[in-house]
Amino acid sequence: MAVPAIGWYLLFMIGPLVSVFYIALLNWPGLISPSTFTALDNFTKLAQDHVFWSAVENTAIQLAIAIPAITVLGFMLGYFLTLNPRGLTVLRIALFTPALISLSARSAIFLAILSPQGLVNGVFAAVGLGDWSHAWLAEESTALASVILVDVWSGIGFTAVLFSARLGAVPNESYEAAVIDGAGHWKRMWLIAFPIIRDYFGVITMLQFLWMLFGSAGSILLLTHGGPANNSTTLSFMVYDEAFNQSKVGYSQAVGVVLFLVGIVGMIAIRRAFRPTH
Amino acid sequence: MSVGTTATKTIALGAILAIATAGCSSGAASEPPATVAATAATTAAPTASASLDGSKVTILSQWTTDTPQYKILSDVATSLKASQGITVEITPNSGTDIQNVFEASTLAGNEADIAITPLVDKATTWLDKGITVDVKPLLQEWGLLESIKPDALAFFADTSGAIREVPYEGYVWPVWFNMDILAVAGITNVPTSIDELLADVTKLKAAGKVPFVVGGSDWSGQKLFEQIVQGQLSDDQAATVLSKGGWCGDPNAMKGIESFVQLRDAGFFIDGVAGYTADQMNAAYYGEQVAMVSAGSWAFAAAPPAVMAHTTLGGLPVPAGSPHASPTDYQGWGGGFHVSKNGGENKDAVGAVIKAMFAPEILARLAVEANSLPAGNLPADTKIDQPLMQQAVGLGTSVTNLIIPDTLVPGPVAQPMIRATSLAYSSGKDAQAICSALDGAYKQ
Repeated sequence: MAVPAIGWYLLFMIGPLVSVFYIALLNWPGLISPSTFTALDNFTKLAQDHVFWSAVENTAIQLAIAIPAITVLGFMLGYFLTLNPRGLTVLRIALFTPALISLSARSAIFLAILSPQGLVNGVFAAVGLGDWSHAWLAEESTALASVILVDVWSGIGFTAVLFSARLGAVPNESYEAAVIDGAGHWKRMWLIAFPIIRDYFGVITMLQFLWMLFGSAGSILLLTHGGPANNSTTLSFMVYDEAFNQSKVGYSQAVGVVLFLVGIVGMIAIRRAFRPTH
Repeated sequence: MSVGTTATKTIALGAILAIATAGCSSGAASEPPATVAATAATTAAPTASASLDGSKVTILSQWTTDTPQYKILSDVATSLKASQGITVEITPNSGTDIQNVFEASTLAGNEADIAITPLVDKATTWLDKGITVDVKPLLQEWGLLESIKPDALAFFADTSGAIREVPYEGYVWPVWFNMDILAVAGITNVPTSIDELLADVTKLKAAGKVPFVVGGSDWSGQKLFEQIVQGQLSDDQAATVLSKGGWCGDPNAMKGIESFVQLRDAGFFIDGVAGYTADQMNAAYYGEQVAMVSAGSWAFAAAPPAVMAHTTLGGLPVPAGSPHASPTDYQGWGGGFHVSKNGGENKDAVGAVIKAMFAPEILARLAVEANSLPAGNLPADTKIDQPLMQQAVGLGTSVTNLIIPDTLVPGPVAQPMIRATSLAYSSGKDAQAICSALDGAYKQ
């Protein structure tokens, strides 16, 4: 009975994954060109490629800022939602809305907000802070930060709703003793709720990590194209760019292999960090 | 050892898409692929050719539905259906996506017969890779070879003499000067040297005017950057550095980059220029927010009449010691017809479409409605009354036509090059940092 499912899985899940490792060993100048086997040449070049190291650095920065911001703020917002604040329904909808906006639409919105004549610079000019204006998506010092900001904006609300669903299942009795002992919301949030849902926090962190690591190419393609120079190029975008813009299919998959390994290591690290303590 | 089979390629395409762009759109600038099938004009007389009646030609077009060129092509398609029974299917797809779409469909063996896109980026490699055919023998067979301008044929020819696509529409890419804005700053003549330009920048800024706008984040900024640098390079020198890199090691290229930095640091560009796109550039000039812009003849049609009335076209001023005697512009050939392998096998029907596009009345429409300079000869009675087009064709020897970078910069380098030049528009970047970024784009 399971044979068709296993066959399907091997063909469409394992097959492409194995092909990534195989293609990484080829010199393949575009999908429409013939390829040649070059063993580990792509990895040797990768080690000497300043764009790759720039992408590694940018990816590390992106993950180091966005993942804690999304998970911690999302958890805190999720806890807030469990307090049944006034306007809860509206708040839930507002928080969930960014998850309902397509990547293209979201990028179009932020292109308008962050363009040189966009909303942010317009507000600065209106309050006499015109000197603070930037080409946010095009300057070396702000491009990557802007992409991270957009990712965080789109991730927090959705994550908060996920956390609130889990926190809603935490028994009230767990908080009551803490309340009697005079614990405020901060302590209840981090000393009562967090330990109870620690494993769930780990799952959300892992999902955000994987989405961010593998999926950042989309935001970057639409917002900055990896520029200026390579200042907002991440590993995920580099896989796309090398394959589709620079016609280096084998090389792009060498980056893909690195990305895959980073993903595995990251998953293990997150799993260990949030392993239940009892 | 060649190991690239179609099956492997298909898996590779899936793998790359899966790992790189999970959940990602194909690009903000892309157009939904609406396939437009030409419908029969049922009232037309049944004059269909026996050999082509019922045949079909598929076209992947960079001319999107809002362009005059698309309207012309659609009308030709309708006419061909009525007169010869040929069905022409047009799939518009703008931006750089069109090249990826064409390559992916080639991989599946289902590529369009004709791809309408300029000879830029990946398209420069298509003939070498065998996914398009040499159109020279086809043009000869269709009787079109003699009716296409020799300079257009030369533009698309490779070193072996093969012609990589059927030339069709040409462009002029001058600098536009808003004389009303210049007059506010007391400037009555367009500048012809960098020194004059710098002096004008000072006057414009003193008068509270913005001198120049360009799309610093995209191809328009790349082209202006290259044009400024080419002011210090002979065509041969430019060809070498554009095709092979080595910007930092070329003293003249470095002088050109320093000219760019000098202009940028003098306040030549609009604030935040690094974040501008070509569309925003046009909007800023059309809205009379800036005194100057560098834009091609494709932008003439959208210029408001009031702006056209006080716009003078000219060249980009050159620095002292430039190898060029006069201000510079680009004049070249844009959208033409790549003929795919499928198209080569369908050459009679494809030839009918391309011949119809070269009909005198269609070329006249191209010139009048789309402000393009056709690769074929215009009928003698064609009246070009678009004011900017009239100025453009009259530029003559007042400008020096620079060698076009598009066919020189290797296809895989084109996009990294745009990212590298975008860095140049950020303040604080010196010539060394800029040339390093440029050379980095040529990495193997």
